[in-house]
Amino acid sequence: MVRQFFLCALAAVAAELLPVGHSYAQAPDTVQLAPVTVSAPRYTRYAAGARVQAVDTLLLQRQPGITLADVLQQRSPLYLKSNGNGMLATVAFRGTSSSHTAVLWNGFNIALPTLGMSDFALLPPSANTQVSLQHGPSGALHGSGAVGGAVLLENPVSFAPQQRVQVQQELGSFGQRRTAATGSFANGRLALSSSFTRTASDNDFRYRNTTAFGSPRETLQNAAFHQNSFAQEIHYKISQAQRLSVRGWYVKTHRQIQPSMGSANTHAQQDDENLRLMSEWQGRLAGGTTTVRAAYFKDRLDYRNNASLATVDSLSFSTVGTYQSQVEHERTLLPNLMLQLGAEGQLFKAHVSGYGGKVEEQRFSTYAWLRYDPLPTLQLSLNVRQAWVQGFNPPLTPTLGTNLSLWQDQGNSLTLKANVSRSYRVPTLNDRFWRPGGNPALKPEGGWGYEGGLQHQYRSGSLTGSTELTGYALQVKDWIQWQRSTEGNYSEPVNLQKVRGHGLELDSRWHYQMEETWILSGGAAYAYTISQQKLPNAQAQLQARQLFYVPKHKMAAWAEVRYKSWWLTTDATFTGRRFTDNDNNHWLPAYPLVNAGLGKTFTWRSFETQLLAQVLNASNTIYQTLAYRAMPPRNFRLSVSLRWAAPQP
Amino acid sequence: MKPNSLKKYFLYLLVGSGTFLATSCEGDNEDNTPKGAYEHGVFITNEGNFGTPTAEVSYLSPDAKTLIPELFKTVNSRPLGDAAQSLTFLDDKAYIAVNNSEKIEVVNAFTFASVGVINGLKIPRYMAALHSTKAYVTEYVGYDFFGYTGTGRVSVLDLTTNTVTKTINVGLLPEGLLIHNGKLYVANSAGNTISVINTTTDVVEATITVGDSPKHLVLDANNKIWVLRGGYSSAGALIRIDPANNHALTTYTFPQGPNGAGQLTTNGAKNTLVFSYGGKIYSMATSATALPTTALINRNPYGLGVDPEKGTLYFGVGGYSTNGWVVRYQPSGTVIDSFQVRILPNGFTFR
Repeated sequence: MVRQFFLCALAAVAAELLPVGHSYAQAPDTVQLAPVTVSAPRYTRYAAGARVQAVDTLLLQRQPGITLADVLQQRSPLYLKSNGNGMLATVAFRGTSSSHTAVLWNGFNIALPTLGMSDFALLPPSANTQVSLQHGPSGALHGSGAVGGAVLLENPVSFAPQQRVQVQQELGSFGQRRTAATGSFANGRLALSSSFTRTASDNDFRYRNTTAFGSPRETLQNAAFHQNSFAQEIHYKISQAQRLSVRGWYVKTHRQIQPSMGSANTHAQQDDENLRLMSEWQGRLAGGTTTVRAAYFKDRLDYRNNASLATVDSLSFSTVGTYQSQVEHERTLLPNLMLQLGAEGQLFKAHVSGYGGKVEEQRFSTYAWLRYDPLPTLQLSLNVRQAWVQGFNPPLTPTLGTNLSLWQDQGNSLTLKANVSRSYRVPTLNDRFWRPGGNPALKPEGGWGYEGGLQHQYRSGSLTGSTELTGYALQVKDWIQWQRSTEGNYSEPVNLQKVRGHGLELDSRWHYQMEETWILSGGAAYAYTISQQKLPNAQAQLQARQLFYVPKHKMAAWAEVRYKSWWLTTDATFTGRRFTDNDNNHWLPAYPLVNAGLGKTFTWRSFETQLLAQVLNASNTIYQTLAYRAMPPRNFRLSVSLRWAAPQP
Repeated sequence: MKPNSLKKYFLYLLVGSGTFLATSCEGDNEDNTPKGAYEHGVFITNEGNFGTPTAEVSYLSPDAKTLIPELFKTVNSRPLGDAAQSLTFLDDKAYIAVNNSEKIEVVNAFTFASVGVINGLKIPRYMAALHSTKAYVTEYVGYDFFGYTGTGRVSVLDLTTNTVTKTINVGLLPEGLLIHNGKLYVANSAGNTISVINTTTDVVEATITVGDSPKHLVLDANNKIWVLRGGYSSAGALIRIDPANNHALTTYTFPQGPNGAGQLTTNGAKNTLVFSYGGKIYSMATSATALPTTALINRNPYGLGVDPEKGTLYFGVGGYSTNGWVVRYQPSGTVIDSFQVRILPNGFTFR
């Protein structure tokens, strides 16, 4: 379902402040965890006025194999909708749906082309991945699907000489186990990194089945899973001006599908296999930087349940091959004017049981991104993208954004941000080709977003902080929804809804270092979200209703204290009431969720051992993120990792 | 439907207090003490969104002034289950077959309070009682195109212990069933037969071939059994079975061509059939010698019912994930009013 850098997309004015973000991203666990050299994400300088937030990468470094679903749950104000622990998990920005969230991996959209969304439980990023969240539409930068927002996964290139190896083993409640091994090497010319993780769980926790006669306590059935992930990167510096990179990411997941409480256990199983390969050549030529990328993805999703007794499709096989390429050229036209031109092509080859045959679709788009700083305190970006899709053409999607530095002194800076952006979403392959129902003539969805915000940065001695307040309005037209066909007893997609939303987002992060021994850091993010469509009420009058599974209030907060080799980390989220149907008949009550962990590092020469004990759902809250899908009660995890790093010369 | 075109006909959703509901029923019973707030009225089965426990029973009071959209949850503070298929009253209990929860929920017929559950079933669809302690339920088993090689099933229920005592193999995907003269008739919707089961021995003693996809069965005032069947390659039909005459068949083939079977019910006197086929609703006297040529209502019902006393026609329609609607019609086909219920209203039970 689903479907999105750095600190604030403020390349210039905030340049001196960027280390605030880095202090989160890279505050070294110990002296040995060398800082990652950050090459600015390619979008950042063209995202003036947009809200782009880096996610704490320490989580990924400490717990390799943790999925994006877990990361976002603990570190973002986004609502994560999950069918259960390790099950299908989707994320939506600003009151849109999972299919309005674009997920890009090093510049390529990796949403499943059949469903048009990403399952965040199937995305265990490797340890050196940097995760950023683009809140709000950004069709010009990120293409189809970036209607509500985008999750950006980047693996930055660094040739700084280093050699590192890390192995980790984690054990937890309900049969949770995770093994990880990562290694990296760089010698100034060649950089290699490999990462392997295996995560599994029996998920056989006890819960109260509130849908059954007598509300008995039961053991969760049919919810075990295991997942293997392997990621490899090779970067080669051909010359000072040229670089070649190859990246591969393979994830294989087998899941039993946790049934809804009150529904028959049909022993459903799903096998996913996601192979992603890409190569990238970048060279400084003719006064500019040219980048050529090519990628091949293969996504397999096979589902089956107790075929003989089921009344719905009990077998579904789908394999999609995606071929993508991008060519980009960026050059500085004037000292304060920068231009990037690009073009991309995508070819999808789908073998899906529901399509009744092979289906191919081609999509192209070209884009131009302009960044202009007319004054030292004023940054403007103007981006446009035009896409062409086999059969129809999405609209031209422009974005205009600005950052205006209002005030700056020794420790403080205040920046005003504003952004207007258009977005689009091409119908998914299922929307177009599923039989029966699929409609090749569906219109793409389109949306507009308007936002404005204030950002405050503080830096004084050992205290740094960043606070951002954003208000926005959003609308999506021709929202595609599957509904009962007028022709027969099946569903079909139609351009049905118009959804309007508005909201507020507040985000604040702080970092304080006291002498050498104490480090305090923490942050909080809050989102107020209104997202409505009009539906008939019992009197058949159209009434604005909050979209289902969009909480009005969501808050996430986290804090970490480090003292010498010890650290204590906690995070807490509060999620408001969520309606579970579009008629707003039913809802899930608000709930808090608290996690905590205690870690200790032992160092001996070039070796380092890390012990980490965690309690998840510490308050033992009974909650659901998707109605009637049981979620784990209080549970524990214990991990040990061993690292070795070559001494720095 | 276009609900807003009917807006002046609305009933209000009165999810009132228990007291209010109790008082609303005071005037309409023969013995003076009501046995419960919901002794009389129309019970609307809402299938719900398949795969989620959103099935419900909506209740409409006899004066049609009080509607409780979620009767089961209102009374029992929990969801009914996943995909309610039918509601059957028997003495002081009501049995709700919830097909994707693989259970039959048992509630008090007058208060709707949960009193038990029958588990151990596969996709229970429709139920028929032989007497107060023994009943049969069809289990919608046997999609042969998924490689299923078994048979469809009818299970025998002991209503004293709420358990399954025996499972009888019938044709694939059995749907409608009825008991007449000590025999249980079962429509095997993925085949072309009606299974006849001896209710003393619980053994299939005859199989009547009626043609493609028999789905619903009713018994008329003359003790004839009517079958509504669909047709995959040729048109569906209404078929009259004469149980007293060696199950002799009279077939009325629809002129519309191949189509799935719709709904089939009768009026209170059981001398008029009301059915849907090919997206339209028809009414036909059981004494008629030919199918009606004009439709009563040009709309396709998801659920269809006829009030046995007033003859009012109840028509259920709805989306797969949003509130459905019930439209009430005069026996002549004139719209009376409409009101919002829950997802996919698929059946009406009158009491």
